[in-house]
Amino acid sequence: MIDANNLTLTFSQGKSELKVLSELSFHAAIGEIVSVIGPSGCGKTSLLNIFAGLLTPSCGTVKINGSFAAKARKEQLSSYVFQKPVMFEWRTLLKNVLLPSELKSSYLRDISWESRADELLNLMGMSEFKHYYPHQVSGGMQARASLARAYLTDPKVLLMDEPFASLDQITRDKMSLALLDMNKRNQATVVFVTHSIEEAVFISDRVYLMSPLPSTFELILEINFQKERKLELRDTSEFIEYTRILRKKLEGNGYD
Amino acid sequence: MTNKTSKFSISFYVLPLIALIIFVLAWEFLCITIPVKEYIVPAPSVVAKTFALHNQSLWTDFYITAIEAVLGFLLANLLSLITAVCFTVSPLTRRIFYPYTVALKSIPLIALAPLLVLWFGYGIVGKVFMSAIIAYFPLVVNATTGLNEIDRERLALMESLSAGKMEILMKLRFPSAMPHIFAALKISTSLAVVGAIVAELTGATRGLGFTILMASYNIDTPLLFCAIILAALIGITFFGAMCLLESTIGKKYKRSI
Repeated sequence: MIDANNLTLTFSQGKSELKVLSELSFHAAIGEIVSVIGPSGCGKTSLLNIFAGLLTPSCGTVKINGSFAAKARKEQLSSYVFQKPVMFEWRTLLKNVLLPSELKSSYLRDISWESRADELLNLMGMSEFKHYYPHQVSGGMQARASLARAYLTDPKVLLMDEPFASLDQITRDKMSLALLDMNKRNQATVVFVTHSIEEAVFISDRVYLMSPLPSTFELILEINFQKERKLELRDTSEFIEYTRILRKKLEGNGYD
Repeated sequence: MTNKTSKFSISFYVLPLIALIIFVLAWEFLCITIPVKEYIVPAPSVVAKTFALHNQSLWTDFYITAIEAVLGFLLANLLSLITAVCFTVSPLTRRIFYPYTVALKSIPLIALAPLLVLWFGYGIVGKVFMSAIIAYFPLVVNATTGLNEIDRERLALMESLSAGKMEILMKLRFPSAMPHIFAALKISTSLAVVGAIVAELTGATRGLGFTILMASYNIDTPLLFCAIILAALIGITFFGAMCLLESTIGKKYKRSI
């Protein structure tokens, strides 16, 4: 669960000040997948870094399941997924997934990490590859491993910064489905930053559309589908209608 | 696959060995056909006879020099790892001392050998230090570079996992630096042998360097050749051992992108 109120972020460089975020409020409940979409350089990554407690906002508060963002990160309530899989090539995929469990933030937690990692890799359909090194598997496999790594600590909030952007379209679709499936079982609040309108509509319960700097949320679009989220959904008229609304708004801002 | 590897090792070991045998035979043949004085270039057979004659004392020299080089190597690289870690953990320390490290590296440190004789006498200690001084620098520079050339995204991942400085050092910096570290260790092996022998040349009572010096005073060229061959043997064995270590431990740290 994320509760963010009146977030303002200003970068100052010498005398000049750059206002990046302007009084943003953001709410997402447990189990929800929420996408953030907007023109490049509008502060999407900064917003994620604030949620992760890696960046302090100039104004406003963020609570992750009731804790302050930095504390939540240290207590493994939140977890981050990057654009690239960020695998360590000297570790097998299993060892990569287990990395968070080897850090001191995990020492006090009573979890049998190995079996949890096995279970997650199984869910990702890659149990037979777990003893492979990253360079021996495809980019899609690495992305799956990085998702499993993010879920290892059973986070309440998953922050994803364009996680599938470097993958090809087919792999990307598979990853969207994998994420939906993973989150159904693990019930985290997912904040998903993306450039792809289709991806956002397909996986999200809600889409936040950001304006150019200083950013605010220009549109908050609730997304409800009658049917189950399968790839065919993208050909339905309601899906196309959602993407049309978002695209129209973005193009009005000179989306690139 | 197995066929391919065995073929590879044949061309890897056997062919150079054949070349060596041909070289030695040609050398022997030339020494017989052209009347070269023995104290200028001795024939391989003469060198072999001399070796047999001095067998015991030569091997003793071999072990002494080898021990000096190995101890010097270990001391040097232990210290340089500590230095590199200090430079990594504390940027201030690095800013102050790193320029001196680089500057010292380019000084001919062999010039220190007589000073070490003055300080530590003719025993093994001075030789170990000389070997260590020369073998120290490759790893300091390489490990400092390796520990600090960290992929930014990996660092961001570790930070997002709330990893501490020490955890980042052990889980990310050291594994990332391994290729750099092994490259330096390999260079360091031969430098350690050079250091030990130079120190022995300057003032010693035993060791290959001492034997080399004595043989040259006595114009005993065959003995000189024996000592040089043994010195080469130390260097090669040491280098080979490091390559073996790299191919076992270091293999998985090789960049395979």
